[in-house]
Amino acid sequence: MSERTRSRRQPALRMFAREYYEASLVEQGAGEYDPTFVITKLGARVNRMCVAGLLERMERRETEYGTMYHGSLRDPTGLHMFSVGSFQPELHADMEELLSRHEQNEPLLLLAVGKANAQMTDDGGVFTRVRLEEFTIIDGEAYANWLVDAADATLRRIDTFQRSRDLPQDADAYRTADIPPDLADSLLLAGAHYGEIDPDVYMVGVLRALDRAEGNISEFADDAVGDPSGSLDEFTVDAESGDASEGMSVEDISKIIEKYTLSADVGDGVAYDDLIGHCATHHISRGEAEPVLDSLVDDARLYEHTFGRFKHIEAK
Amino acid sequence: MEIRFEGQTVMVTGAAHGFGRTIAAAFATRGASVYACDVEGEGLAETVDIIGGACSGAIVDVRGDCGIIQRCPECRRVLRDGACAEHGDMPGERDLRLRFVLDDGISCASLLLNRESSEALLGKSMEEVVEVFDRDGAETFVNQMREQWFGRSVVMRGRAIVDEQGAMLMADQLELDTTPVQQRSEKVREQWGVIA
Repeated sequence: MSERTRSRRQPALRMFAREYYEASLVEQGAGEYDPTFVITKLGARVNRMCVAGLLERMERRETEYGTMYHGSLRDPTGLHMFSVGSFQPELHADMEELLSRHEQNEPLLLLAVGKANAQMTDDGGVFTRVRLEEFTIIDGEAYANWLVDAADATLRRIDTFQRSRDLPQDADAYRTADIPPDLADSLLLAGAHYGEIDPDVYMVGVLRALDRAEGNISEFADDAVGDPSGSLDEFTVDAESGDASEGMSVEDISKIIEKYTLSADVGDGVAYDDLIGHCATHHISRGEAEPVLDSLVDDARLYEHTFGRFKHIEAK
Repeated sequence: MEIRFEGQTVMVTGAAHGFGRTIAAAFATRGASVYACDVEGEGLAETVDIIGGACSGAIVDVRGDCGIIQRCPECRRVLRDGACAEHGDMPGERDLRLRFVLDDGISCASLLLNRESSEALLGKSMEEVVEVFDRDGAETFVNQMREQWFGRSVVMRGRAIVDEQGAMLMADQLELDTTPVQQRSEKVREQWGVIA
């Protein structure tokens, strides 16, 4: 599969935001026309991708090269950052329309196809985003279908990843064990780069997405989980992350956390990310929520039921 | 006595090559609906070419040369600026075709609809499309096609050919995938053992 002619089109991988923004391994093509790939922790080798979500942020930026657009799409696992370059004028009229509808607070679900794009950050990290090729506004049903597709693709990668862990880490062993050729080489590279990883964090996203697709979670707001990558910092203009929570006391924050931990617990506790995400909807930042969460645990109001999942002491 | 499989669905894994392909073809010729599966897209496309078949995916690109084209009367090549690469300047013959890229997340292929399939999909005769073309221009037509088809999940029935450019699907029929999302989700849960 790797002996493709250079002009051959790359497939569009269905991928949730978290898997993509947690990726930091970039495979640069050797030649000028060779495609660049981002390799995720689950071994996906991404050049083109098909993503979807609620348009959460959108802005126009004037640069020395011309107008650019940046935005983010929220799916059940986090945010997909996207951009449209100054060299893509064919998309600019559409971006302006999108921007104006977004500024009027119209909730917009987007499905987009784009290219993987990775940049080094100042602190030496890698920041991944999607450079849009084409997008369309979709309805809830089309979004649900995308969630199922992305869940399917992620489950396939998790399954392959887990099978690959028990094998000798070389190409021959992978081939013998029928590790799919689109994942085999990149899984080896991912293993060397990322070391030990826990695929369960991606499984949580899959379950949430399937629940969402099946209508068990109906509100967009329920998709608002935290964004643990910190890559939001790349978007310097963020009206909502200001000091909206200023004046909110520790008691207020405690009440919000306790109430949510009780109400959102369906038996196995509440995930840390969800808790932080819920706080964010109350304009409480991670930095503010974390010490309060810690003190609630210290006071034995909450306890860590399993790793990363919290239960309230009064929960059934 | 030959056993027939009309109305039955058979799933064949590893159908891109060898006996998987032979099994898929054998079931198909005996009337079964065959789900041919493989991770190797090109080989699978060849199998589909042999047995004819259906595949599904999303339309991730609507090509800009969708619509009315002029063909060389000698060799059926598409004329560019009124000229054939082989036969030079030619009076073109009108034809209608649609070109998409079909993508299932693991592999992708050009998806081509000839005049007949395009007319069926558009619900318009070629003459009617010519009218739209002459009135609104090619770009408007293509934009409308994009709005209608980009990002849509579809099922195509037809044949596949594979050459050095990759896989190409020739659709006899193209329709929206209307499988209810609940059903698709349940299938995914079942396949990967994820309990609701």
